[in-house]
This record gives sequence, C-alpha cells and structure tokens, in this order.
Amino acid sequence: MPIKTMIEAIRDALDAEMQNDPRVFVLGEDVGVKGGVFLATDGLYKKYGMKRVLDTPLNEIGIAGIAIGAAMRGLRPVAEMQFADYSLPAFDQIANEAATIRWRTAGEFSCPLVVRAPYGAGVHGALWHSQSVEALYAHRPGLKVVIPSTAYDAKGLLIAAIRDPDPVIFFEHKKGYRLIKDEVPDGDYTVPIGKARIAREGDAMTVVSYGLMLHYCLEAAQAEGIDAEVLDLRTISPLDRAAIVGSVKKTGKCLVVTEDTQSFSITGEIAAIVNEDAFEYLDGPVSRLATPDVPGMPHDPGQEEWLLPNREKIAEAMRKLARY
Amino acid sequence: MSAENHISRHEALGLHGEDVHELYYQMVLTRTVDDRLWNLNRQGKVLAFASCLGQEAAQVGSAYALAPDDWLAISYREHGVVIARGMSVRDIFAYAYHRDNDPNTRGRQIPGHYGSQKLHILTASSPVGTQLAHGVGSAWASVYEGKREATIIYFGDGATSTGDFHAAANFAAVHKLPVVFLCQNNEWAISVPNTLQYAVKHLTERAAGYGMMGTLVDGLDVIEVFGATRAALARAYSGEGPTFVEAKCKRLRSHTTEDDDRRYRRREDVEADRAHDPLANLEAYMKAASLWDEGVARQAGEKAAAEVEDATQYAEASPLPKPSETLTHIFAEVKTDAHQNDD
Repeated sequence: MPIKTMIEAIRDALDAEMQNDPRVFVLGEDVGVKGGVFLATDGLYKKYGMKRVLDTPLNEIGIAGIAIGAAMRGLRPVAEMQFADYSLPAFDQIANEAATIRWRTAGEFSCPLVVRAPYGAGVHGALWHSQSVEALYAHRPGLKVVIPSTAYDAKGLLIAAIRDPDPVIFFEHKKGYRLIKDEVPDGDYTVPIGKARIAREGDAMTVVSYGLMLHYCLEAAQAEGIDAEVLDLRTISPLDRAAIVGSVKKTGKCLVVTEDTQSFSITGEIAAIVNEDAFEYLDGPVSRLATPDVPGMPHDPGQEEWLLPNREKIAEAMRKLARY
Repeated sequence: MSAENHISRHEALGLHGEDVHELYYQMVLTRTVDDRLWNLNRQGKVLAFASCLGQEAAQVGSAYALAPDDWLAISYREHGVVIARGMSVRDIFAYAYHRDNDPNTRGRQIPGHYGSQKLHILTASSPVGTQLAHGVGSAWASVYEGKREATIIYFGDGATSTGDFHAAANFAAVHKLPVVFLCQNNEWAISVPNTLQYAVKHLTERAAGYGMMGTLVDGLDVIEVFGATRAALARAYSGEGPTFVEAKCKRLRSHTTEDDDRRYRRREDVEADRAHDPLANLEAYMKAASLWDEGVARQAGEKAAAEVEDATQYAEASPLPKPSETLTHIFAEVKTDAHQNDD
C-alpha cells in the first residue's frame, strides 16, 4: 500500500469525491491556480476547472455564507479557510447559520457543508497562523468537528465529511501535513465520524488526544515504557463517549493532552465525562496537559517551543499520573 | 398623471386588469395579516413579530414578478413576499402560534422567519444580512447546475452596512450571477435613521462600486416595483449579472412588537409618513385606470378578513409540538446525544 503524507491524503480525498459526485466543489482563497497555500488542492483546478475549484474574493463571511447557500440548494461545497485563525470572521455564518439550519426548519432544510482549515502551532506562525479553535466550534450543537491524526484517517474522514448530510468542520494540523505519513489506500473509503480509535493498547492509564499531539503522546508512552492506552479521538464533536469511558474503566486513570489552551476546553469536557460515567473506576484525578492560557502564540521559536506541550511534558504528566 | 398614463404603465408591462386586482388583493391580505398578528401580540397570543406595514407594495410587487423556479432569500419582515409566493395564511398563523402543523419551523423560530422548499424560500434567520450570502450561494448553485433560475434577495437598509452585504454583492458581480438584490429601504434600522447608516444619497450609488446595475424605485408603487424587478430578472436570466434595486418605503410601525418607536420618532413625523401608504397609492392608480369600484375594495377586504379569521381559528385549534420535540432534527440521524434525557 502506498505511503502518503497527510496533505497528499487530503488531496486524494477531494479528488475522489469530486470524481464520484458532480455536486462537490471546493472554494476558498488561493485554492485554484495556486492549489492552496499548503497545496491541499494542487492539481484540482487543472483537472476540474474553475467552477469546481473556485478562487473566491478575500472574505471569509462570503466563503462560508455562499457555501451555506449552495449547500441548502443541494450542492456539496468544501470551503477552505486558509488558516483556522481566519475562520473567525465566518463564525457567525458557521455557528449561527450552518449549525442551526436543520434544527430551525425542523428538518425541512439541511446544510451539507464541509469547512476545512489548517490549525496548530510549531511552524513559527505566531498569533494568527497557529491557533487551535476546535473548542469554539465543538461548543455549538449542530456542528460536527473532526481532526485526523493519520494520513489514512485524513482521507477516510474527509470523504465521510463530504458525504455527511450535516455541516462538518475539518481541522488539519499544518505541521502534520508533511510530517505525518502512513499507508493510504487508493480509491475511496470512509472512516466513520464520531468513532475514536485506540492507537496504542495498554492498562496503566488512558491518554486521550488527537491531531499532532496524538503522535507526541505515542512517542512519550514508548519512550517512558509506560503501559498507557492512547486513544485518538478523531472526532471532537460528537465525542465518542463510550470509547473514552470504556478505556478509563479498564485503566482507572486518565490524562487528556491537547495543543489547544486549557480553560473551557475539550480537556475539561472529557474530564467531566469521565467524572460522570467512570467515577467509581478512577484511581486518580483526571489530568490535563494543554497550552497555557496565553492569547497568542509567540513568534520567537524559543518562546513558542517553551509554551507548547511536547514529548517531555507529556512524559512528565504520564509519570506523575502513574505515581498517583 | 393622466388615466392614459396609468393604463399604459401596467399594460406596458404586460399586466392585465386582473393582475392589478390580484396585486391589490395580496396587498390587502398582507396588511390584514399584519394587523391581526400585531393585535394578537397585544393580546399575548403571538409572542413577537416584525411588521411589514408600509412595505406591502415593495414586497408583493417584487414577488409577483418571480417565476415559479426562482429562489428567494429573505429577512424576517417579508410577510407580503411569502403571501405573494403562495404561502397559505393558515401556515403563516400556525407558525405564529408555534403549532405542530406549521411547515416552517414548528415553534423554534420567532414568527416571520419563513422557509419552504416547496415555495423555493431559503430559511430566514435573525442575524441581519446573512441571507445575502446564502442568496448568492443559491444563484451560484443554479449556474453550477445549468438551471435558468434567478435568486432574489430581500433585505433592508440596515443590512447594507454588514460585511455579508459586501461579500454577497461583490461575489455576485464578479461572477455575473443571476441575483436581484431587493433592498426595501424603510429609512430605519430599529432606531438608527438613514442619515447615520450611510453617507450616499441613494444606496443605488453603491451598485456602481460593485460593477452592477442599480435601479431606484418608488417602493410605495406596486406597478413600478413589479416592472423594475421584472427587468432585473430579465438581466439575470440572460447572464447580464446582478441588479441592485432600491425600493424607497416607509416603516409605518415600530421595528417589531418589542420596540417602541416613541422613544426615537416624533409623532408628527410618523403621522406624516402615514400619508405615504402603498395601498392608498394603488387605490388611486386603480381609480385613474378605471379598475376600481367600491365593490372591489369591499370584496377584497371581506375575503382577506375571512381568510385571516379562518387561519386564526385553524391555528388556535391546532396542537402544539411536544416540548421534547425540540431535541429532534439536530443532525440527520434520528437519535443524538441530546436524546439521553428524552422522556
């Protein structure tokens, strides 16, 4: 089976679904002739033409709003936000409109929209090319939020997202685009939205993560020789509650690791779920490791590296929890 | 204007006397619906609603020009639009009463946020201006699929200040999309007057800045609105791109039932505006065009009153949705996490 990078897998998924379904089109800034600033849509313009690989004016409200209108009319738009940080101007359209359309019409209309956006730090992108904004979107009922951690999942989840009848926000770690590579089958296949994956089996503790951090968790567990079970969420919302609770019941301990900042976050939600459904099984407090509550990512590589969770910090958090 | 001029105005547009009578009836019905909903609000039966009093000609005249396949993206004030489009008064009242048989929203939205696949009306929302981008996306979908359809977008003067307006107008013009931007300028965005909303004399001046055609019409004149909309639609169908139509109207009531315009409008100004009544305007036109007799007015009034009375009784007799129904239709899947607490 061919080894592909995550960015190649994403391109594969877009190509496969554009081939399969004439209703699928991509739109965003620089997605056309240039092929996207990260080259996610490289080659698609040449293959499918400007109508299906649409360079939009520089306006995120328009990208989201026009995609929502087209989705309500039955097309399958895949909107690219150039950086997750810049999806915020479109937050009104995504959170107030896309998320509510099915509910507010009692099922008369739907919004089968995918919004793709690169997220994450570690590439010296500073304040506005580094953010993790999944908690903002996951907080809104009516949206699905997906973050793949492997190239295989990126392709299968993106195809599933495009076929999903509801709006899906799809975040891709930009540092993982070329760093992450694994076996990716040719042709189309789906990975189900809403299902977590056990990336590493173990009995000593459950480590919950996703995206690029998932890899750091796996490396830390390996390096420390801790028998940790590492759970890859794959979908942030709706959370695979059963998978989290099932693993914690087995291990009795839980560490949640995200690159997103800590307060009012995914880490807090998972701690609450474990508290609600696995309280009697716990042998220690649910632990969290996240980026400190700083409003921006510093540009200086030294400060950036100091701020972000990494293998060493994860290993330390694992050791501390193991000792408890 | 002379009678001959009046006759030539509707006939020049290919409208027959029956069309004018139908326009008149739809405007009377719109006002009767509006008045009843307002009164029901004061009785505590309809919790909130935005009146379209004074905008009947702009709404009915423009919607009357549409073809069945055309699509509409609307705001929350377009009762006359949906009436002209064919929504039944029963459905409008079932909605206003939050009833389970309302095809629009079944108790979820504030009254007036209509949406209908059958009538090609995209679901409306409260955030001002968002529907502008949806309407342009709809027009993009029509072009994408090679369909000869236009999308008309209804919005007010306040919406022209939003980022959504700019995004929509610019994109539609760049791609010469089949869009009619139908702005009902009722001079007020809640309490903020035009003078604090924009600095140009007419909003149509903005059209040139986007590279599209702009048409200024008297929004109190149903025939003129119909003509301008039909011309804009013709441009849309033939690939000439979007048109910005500004219909100058008056807002004859407060912003909504929840607003009190006595806080920001002088009574004498409101009274002066009441002289600019689209229904009285059409009545004068019909008299001059020999399309009027007292029977027309009486019959229209009686028919509208009967429809509204029937719809009110229909709505009052209809069942409410089960409260737990609010947990449905979050996603396409029937069951979601939210159902864990159901029943």
